[in-house]
Amino acid sequence: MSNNNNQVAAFMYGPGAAFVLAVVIFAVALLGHVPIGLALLMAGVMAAYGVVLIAGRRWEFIGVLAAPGQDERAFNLHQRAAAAAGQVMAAVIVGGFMWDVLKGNVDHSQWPWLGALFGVTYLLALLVFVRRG
Amino acid sequence: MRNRVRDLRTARNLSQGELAAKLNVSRQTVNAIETEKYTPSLPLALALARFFGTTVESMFDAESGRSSR
Repeated sequence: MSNNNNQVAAFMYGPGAAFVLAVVIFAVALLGHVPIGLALLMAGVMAAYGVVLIAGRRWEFIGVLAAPGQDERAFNLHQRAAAAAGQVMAAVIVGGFMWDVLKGNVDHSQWPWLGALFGVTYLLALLVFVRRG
Repeated sequence: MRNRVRDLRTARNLSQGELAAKLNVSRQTVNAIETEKYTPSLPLALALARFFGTTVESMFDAESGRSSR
């Protein structure tokens, strides 16, 4: 029973976070004087994501999205997907930087900051994980 | 990695879902182990062995794991 409850709690974390984020997005959009229709649309997209996470929980793909920590294999899949997404982001950051350099927009480019953040985060994470073994 | 998890489970008349609940993992994880798509971590392998009253070595064929992938 408690196992079941734990799995339900783990599963609800994803949709719950999506719904909380929908409310936060809506509040931030209103504070930023975004038109109410657009604010509702932005929040609605996030809320719809939460609904998809609940409605599709029988599909493993959605189940892992909703609760990547539900068990070791889900976590393993999540880590591999995150690593793949990270590799793509690294390529996009380098490519974007090169593109801005080619266009002569280096002064206003956000890519170096993103690249530095990405690199420092990676190095710090690697340092921590190496020390932890 | 080749293993005997399905044989041991069916011998006890357990469904994948029932075994998954006992091990605190998802049914899909049990299925992935049985179909040799996923090699469990050492703690999960030990939990499986303990549950079936056997040893990890007798459940998993390490040589097949080395040759595959």
